[in-house]
Formats: sequence, structure tokens, C-alpha cells
Amino acid sequence: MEHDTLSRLLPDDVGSRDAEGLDATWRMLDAIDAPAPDSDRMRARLDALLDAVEHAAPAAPRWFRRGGGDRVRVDATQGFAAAAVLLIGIAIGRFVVPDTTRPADSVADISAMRHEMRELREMVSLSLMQQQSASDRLKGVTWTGQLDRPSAEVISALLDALMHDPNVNVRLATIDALERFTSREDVRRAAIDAVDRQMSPLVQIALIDFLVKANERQSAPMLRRLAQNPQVHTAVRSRAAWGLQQLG
Amino acid sequence: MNEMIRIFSAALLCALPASGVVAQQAVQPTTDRVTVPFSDPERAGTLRVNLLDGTVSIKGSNRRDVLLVANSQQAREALRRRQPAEPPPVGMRRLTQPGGFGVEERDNEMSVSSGMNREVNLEIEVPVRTKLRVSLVNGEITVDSVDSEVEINTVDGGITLINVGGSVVAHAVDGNITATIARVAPQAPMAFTSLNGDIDVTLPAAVKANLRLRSDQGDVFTDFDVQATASASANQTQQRNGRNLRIDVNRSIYGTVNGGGPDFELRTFDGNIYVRKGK
Repeated sequence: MEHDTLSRLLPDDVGSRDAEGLDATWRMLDAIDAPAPDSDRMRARLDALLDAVEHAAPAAPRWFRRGGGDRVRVDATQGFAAAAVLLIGIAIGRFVVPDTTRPADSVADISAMRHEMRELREMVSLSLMQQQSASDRLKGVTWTGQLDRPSAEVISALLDALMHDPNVNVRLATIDALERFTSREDVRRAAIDAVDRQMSPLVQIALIDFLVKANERQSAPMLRRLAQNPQVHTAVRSRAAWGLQQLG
Repeated sequence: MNEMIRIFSAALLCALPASGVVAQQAVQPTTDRVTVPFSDPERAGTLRVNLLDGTVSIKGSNRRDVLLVANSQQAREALRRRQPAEPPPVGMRRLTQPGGFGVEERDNEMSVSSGMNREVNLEIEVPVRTKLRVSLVNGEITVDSVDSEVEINTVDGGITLINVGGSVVAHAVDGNITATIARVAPQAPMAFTSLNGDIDVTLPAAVKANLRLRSDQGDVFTDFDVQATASASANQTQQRNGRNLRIDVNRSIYGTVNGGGPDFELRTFDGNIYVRKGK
């Protein structure tokens, strides 16, 4: 390329020294001889490759060799390629779909993944339940409902929220979340203890319902005390009396 | 003499909560208007209000600090009476505030509280995104045009929310809750509960939610197309000791709106529930 052409292509802000440097480089590149394509050698290499392909698939059936000559080579190549794709497909299939000959490993992998997933969900629920925002804590409490086998840590976090969460709505949601665990004695006992400590009549009523639903006879003395205490909200007292009646 | 003692004790009670803000803020003790900035106005701040008696009205506006106006007649009278009577001694400054409330700000959290036995009527303007945690024993709370997390508790008094966005967790023991929610925060659960009040909530027409509606002694009304997922209002039957026992406990109505979403709980013991479709 001519010098003036190069400088025309350069942006305006390139200094003259830079332009000269570029020009020199360009000339040096020009001086190097480009290797001429050696057509004979390329042809020989291609032929060798085709021969190799032909020899690698000698068992191609006769009907496959239609057209003869060069055409045979092309067909054989295509067939070979198809076989290769098939093999790759099978390999991928084997890799992705669990190998039935080694079920233990894959099942272990999946169960490990499930386990990790469950731990992650638990962790998220537990950490949400520690947040400052009541909306976040509500979210954490509700999410525990999606854990299929919650650990003891989750249950104790729910019981802790039932006792100590400052927000009435979070405590109410906790009672709903604990309904899955009425078969556990510690949960029923905590619910009985919680009724006395609650300041909120709405939560007290929800706890009485919870105990009646769990058919917890142990709660009868507490309900009797509640029903007879004139300092307790009237709605709570009548609910406690109703609960006693239900538990018989 | 009696009057003097009363004022003095009121001033003393106010001194503690007020001292916090005076240390950080040049509060004018002669007015009942205070402007307090958040330490980092770029982040959404939190406003906590804890009062025993009075009314609280909070409005979102496009300001960066918080304006508090104590507009109670009582507070103004107290101010008028006190101003000429007690000029600060030479070399001292007054720490109590005439409005009867104290403000403290730390790490973008602002706390407003009142002294004992003081009725305080507060009008507060906040940045729209300010998170609110309001707790009032006896009085009405109104929140208008904020877009954040709203947490409100009252014992004796109603809660009114107008044009509120984000998420709401509200509880009134003896009071109605009326809320118009303009925008809901995605995946954020909400709860509106009361013992003796009605709950009247207007939600955006396109809201996706799982509704949990329950009124023990009242009714539930809605103009939403609620797809019932499980209604436990039917009596549960349990076999016990060989005889059938009817347990009618759970009167909750569970349903989804627009395909379902986060849980919205509306519960009252002795009131009605209205879930209205907004625009």
C-alpha cells in the first residue's frame, strides 16, 4: 500500500511520528515473501485423507456404492459422519441419563443435591425469620410450609417466633405454620405455655383453636383457668370455655 | 403551684427522649415543627413511632428529610404557658421539646416517642420510600402515599392507609383497618388483622395473591374472582373413642386471585372482611 493511502486511513489524532512508525512496519510486512500455495502437496494430502476414510470403512455395502468413483468416497464420508454423530448422541445420552448399571452413585448424587437444596431453603427461611421487617419474617414463616422435612432447628425457630416475635401477625402465621407438627409433644406443650404469655387476644384464640384441633387434653387445666379469669378478654374466655367443651 | 409541678414533671419526662436528637440536631425548642434528616438520605430510611395517646398522620412526599409537626391544641397551650414562665437559666439550653415528643436518628433509623401521660398529635412528612414501624396504644393512624414496608399496631384506634404501595402488616385490637393498596411489592406477604374491627382492603385488580380470609363472627365479602383452594369452613369430623365428634375449628377461606402469589392474611374475630378490587 502506498504511504499516502495509509496516512489517509489513519484517524486525525494520530501524530506524524506514529504515522511514520506504522508506515515502516507496513513496509517491513510487505518485504516478507508470502509463501506460494503448494498445490501439489495439498492435493496429495487430500488424497491421503480420502484414502484413509475409504480404508476405514471398507465394509460399506455394495448398494451404498452407487454411482462409483468419487461419488463413493463422498457417500462413505457422509455415512461415517452419521455414525460418528450417532455415537456422540449415545455418549451424551449415557452421560445425561443416569446409568442403570451404576444406580447407587446417581441416586446418591440426586439425594445429595436434594439435601443441599433443602438445607438452602431452610437456611433462607431461618434467616428471613431473623429479619427486622415483619413482612420478611412472615415470608420466612410461610416458607417453612414448603419444606418437606424441616429440621428441629426450623421447629424451634417457629416456637421461638411464637413466644417472642414482637408482631402479632407474625405470631398468628407461626401458629398456622406449626399446625403440621401437632403430632410432636414439644410443639403442643409450647402452645399450651404460649397461651398464658400472650398479650394479644387474637393470638390466644388462635392457640386455643390449635390445641382443640390437636385434641390436646393436657390443655384442659389451662383452658379452665383462662375461662374463669375475669381479667382475660371476654372473647378469649368464651373461646376457652368452648375449647373445654370440645375436648370433653 | 400545682400547675408548675405538672409542667415540670412533663418537661422531665420529655427530657430523656429529646436529649438524643438535641445532641445531633439543632432543634429549635421554641417551635413545634422539627425537621430531622436521615444520616444517609440515598438509602431508604426507617421511621419508628411509638406513642401512647394521640393521633399519627404520615404522608409521603418527595422530600429527603422528615418533617414532624406536633399540632395538638394541648401541646400549643403547654408551649404558650411555658415560654414566658421558664426562660432557660443563663448558660443553659432547653432540652425538652414543646410538642411533647422526642426524635432520635441513628444509622438511618429515626425513632419518635412521647413521654408518659401525654397526648401527642403528630403530622409527619417522610420521603416516599421510608419504611414505617408505627405503634400507638390509643388513637388513630393514617398513612398516605408511601411506597415501602408499612408495619402498624394499635390497641384502641383505627388504621387508615391511603394509596400505599409495597407491603403492609397491620394489626388493630379494637379498631377498623381500611387500606387502599395501590401497588404491591412482588413476593411480599401482607397481613391485616383485628379482634373487634372490620377489615376493608382494596387491592389492585391485577394483584396475584393467595388470600387467607377469616372472620369468626362476621362475614367475608369480595368482588374479586377468588378461586377457592381449600375451605375448611366445612366441619371436620374426627373419630374419637368410637364416637363421631364434630370439630368446627377452622373457618378460614383459602383462595387464589389471578393465579396466586404471596399470602395475604385478613383476619378478624368480631367484624366483617371486605376485599375490594381497585383500579
